Amino acid sequence: MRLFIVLTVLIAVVFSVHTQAQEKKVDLGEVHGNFDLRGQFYNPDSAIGAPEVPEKFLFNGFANINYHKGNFYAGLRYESYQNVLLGFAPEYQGNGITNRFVQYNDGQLDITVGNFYEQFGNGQILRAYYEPSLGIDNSIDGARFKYNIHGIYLKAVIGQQRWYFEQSPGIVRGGDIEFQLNEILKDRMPKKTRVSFGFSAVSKYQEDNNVDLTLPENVLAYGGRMQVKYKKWMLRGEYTYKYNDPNADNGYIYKEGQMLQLTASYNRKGFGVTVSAHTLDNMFFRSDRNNSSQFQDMFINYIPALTKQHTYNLMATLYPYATQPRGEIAFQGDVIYKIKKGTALGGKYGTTVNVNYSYAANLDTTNLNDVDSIGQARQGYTSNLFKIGERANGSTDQYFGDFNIEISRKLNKTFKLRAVYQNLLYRRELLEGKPGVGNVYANVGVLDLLTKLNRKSSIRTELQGLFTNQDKGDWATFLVEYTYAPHWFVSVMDQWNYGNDIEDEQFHFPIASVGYIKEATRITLSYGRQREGIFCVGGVCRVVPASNGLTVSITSSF
Amino acid sequence: MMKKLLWILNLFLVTGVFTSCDEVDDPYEHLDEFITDTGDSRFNDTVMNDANLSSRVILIEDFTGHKCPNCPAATDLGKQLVDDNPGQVFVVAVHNSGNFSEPDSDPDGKFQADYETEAGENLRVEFQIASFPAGLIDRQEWNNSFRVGMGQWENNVNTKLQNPDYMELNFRVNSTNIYNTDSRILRVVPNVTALDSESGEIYFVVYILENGIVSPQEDSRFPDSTPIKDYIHNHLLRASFPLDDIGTKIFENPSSGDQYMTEFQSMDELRFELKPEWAAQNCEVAYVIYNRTSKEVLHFETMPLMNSGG
Repeated sequence: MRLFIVLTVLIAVVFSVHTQAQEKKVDLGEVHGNFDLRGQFYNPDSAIGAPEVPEKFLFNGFANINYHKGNFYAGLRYESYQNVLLGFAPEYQGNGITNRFVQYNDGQLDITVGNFYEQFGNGQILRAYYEPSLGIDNSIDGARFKYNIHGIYLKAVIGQQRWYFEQSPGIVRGGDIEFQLNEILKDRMPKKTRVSFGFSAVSKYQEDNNVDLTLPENVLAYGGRMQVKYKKWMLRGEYTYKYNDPNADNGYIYKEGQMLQLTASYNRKGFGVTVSAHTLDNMFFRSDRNNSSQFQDMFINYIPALTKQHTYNLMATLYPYATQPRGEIAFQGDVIYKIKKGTALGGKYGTTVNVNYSYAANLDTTNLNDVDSIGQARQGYTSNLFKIGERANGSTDQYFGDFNIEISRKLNKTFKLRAVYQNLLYRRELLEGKPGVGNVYANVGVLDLLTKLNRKSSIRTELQGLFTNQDKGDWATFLVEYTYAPHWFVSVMDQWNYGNDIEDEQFHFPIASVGYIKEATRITLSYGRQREGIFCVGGVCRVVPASNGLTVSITSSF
Repeated sequence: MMKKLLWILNLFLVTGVFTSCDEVDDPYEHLDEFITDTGDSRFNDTVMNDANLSSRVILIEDFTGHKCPNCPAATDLGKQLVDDNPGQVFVVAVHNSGNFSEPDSDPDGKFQADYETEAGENLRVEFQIASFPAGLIDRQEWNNSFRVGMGQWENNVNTKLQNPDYMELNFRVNSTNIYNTDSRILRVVPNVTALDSESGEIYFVVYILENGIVSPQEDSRFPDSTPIKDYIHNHLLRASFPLDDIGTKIFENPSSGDQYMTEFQSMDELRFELKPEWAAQNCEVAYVIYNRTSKEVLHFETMPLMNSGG
């Protein structure tokens, strides 16, 4: 109740200031923000495994309100979970201001106190970010200093991470320095060459209150990175090392953690190729060593995924890959080529071809059997960062493989076609935590046809098929989406598990949606069945449980 | 100036981060704090005697043996006396009876268990117990002999019970027993208060008794004279310390109110390591306070070895 009053007063004051500013033409600053409200009525549907929801209706909502005047910034976020939607951590319960900050930023000096988000390098040892669709907010509540001068960028952070409506028991401290050689050396650098490199270090502190083990209270991770661009070429790499960090994720072993990532790319008009690889071992890094929640609680670092993020639902939500901080070798190759228009292959408007392959496997490891008895070193295992592991039967210890090709072509002024093929290997045993369950080998095909009816309206149809002999067998998806620009869209979709070996479980998952968009406000209503699936953003995933009901979503920004 | 200060501040923070790391070579280093010469203290099971005795407990030390055919009858009699006089009589089975208590030398023999104790043997010799079953009752003479035949047990006990002066408590014991389930070391920290004046040297000795031991026992009451295979031995004397039956001297000619106290981890703390084959959860600890001059047992009380045992 007290929070509600505070929020109401704050909003009233902010709008009052805004109104007065308009009346008197005095610059009192600007207020911006956004709302995101999502609610769902749940119908019981035991056939598809949708649990009964005692509340019938669940709700997630948040609002960001930010104030800005000159070099001064301030903001807060209010969140409400009544109760939290299925699939999110149950610790999200209740209401409260979960983020508030004040910031001074003059372009050179940037000081923030309160909650902030930050990333060092590509996030291997520190990435505090907010992803409400995954229920992730590992913001740091504390202080951040950023300063740059003549191409040298320095950052220092200290604070505690958010843990739902509480805070992590650990303290995170970090520093990062980056040198942009082009800014430092200016004209002395060769033209068309851009070089930068940086170093970062993060240390966490958590009290050792474990009666069984002597735990390191301060755990340090550090790393270095470099990026070179020359004309159309780019090469980027980062290496990070983490000292002993026994935690619930790794079974309280004292082994070090390491990660190396390399990316190279070449891009010119109509053609681009990117090759990425990373290898990592024991890179669980949370500010609470005793937390091993599936909901990504209090992760200090972030392991970027090396798989393509698909958008078609059978490719995106049935068998997506989540990066494995325990250890993996992964690589990805991506080629995009636009066949010129006016050629036999390219047609009148040109044709774009995107070929992508990603692969992830376990490291080669040797178990040391040194964690069972008192007096042992608890190193857990040894690993070779540059060798792919083998399974007991001698086969490669592969986690995931995804070959896909996407061809897009505008056929004429009315039709635009996109065709996608995917060949997939998915290690279900590991990625879904189901011991003894075999791999899924699947082929997926998608046809996506956009038909422009007139200047304002269009119809998009999708036909998807996933073909596999494993798990629940074959699936098909059919979607029709009608858009009447700029305000309305209506869609109907059905997913059908027609290939399920159990005939009684060959379910349909129909869902209909209607949406209205006006300027920055979007209202969506959906009704139907939601299949159990996995929703991923950037290699971080959450399980979306099966459900049946009406979903209401309102988003707006101002 | 401001910018320089910020640089210094940033560098200071970054330096702080780099130096904030603890490398642990021994994951179990902290256990050293807990491990003493009596074991890992996290495995300690502490029992404080809270019997709060209201009267003296008469001790019958029943000299018996698993090959003694007439002894089970004495055991049963002793149990009857205990049951008839709850909290006032206790029987300890002392398996020292010469040939009757020796284990079989033949490895295929039925009586492999060795229940003899050094303390029991010393007592048997000292009190000249040569025929069985026989008992010492508070180690007091009865008809000019310390040895009391089982036929006299009831009479002896009843005589004592009917004497209020005799049944008065002579000592109050507030002690702590710490048994380490990992090292199997029992530590006894006695705190004894004299409630009456005594003349002579007063000694304190600890008995470890085990209950529920199942092993063969001869019993003449069964005509076919085959041993009872699953006879249950209770209150069997496993050990006595310190110095076997002798114990430690706590008073000399004490007056009422005199106290004997021991500190934790001190030299006076009494320690004993239980043998692996003894079931600690079935064991009892007994305090015996006796007058070394007159030999009389002046105080006896028991408690479980472990909180969940007995």
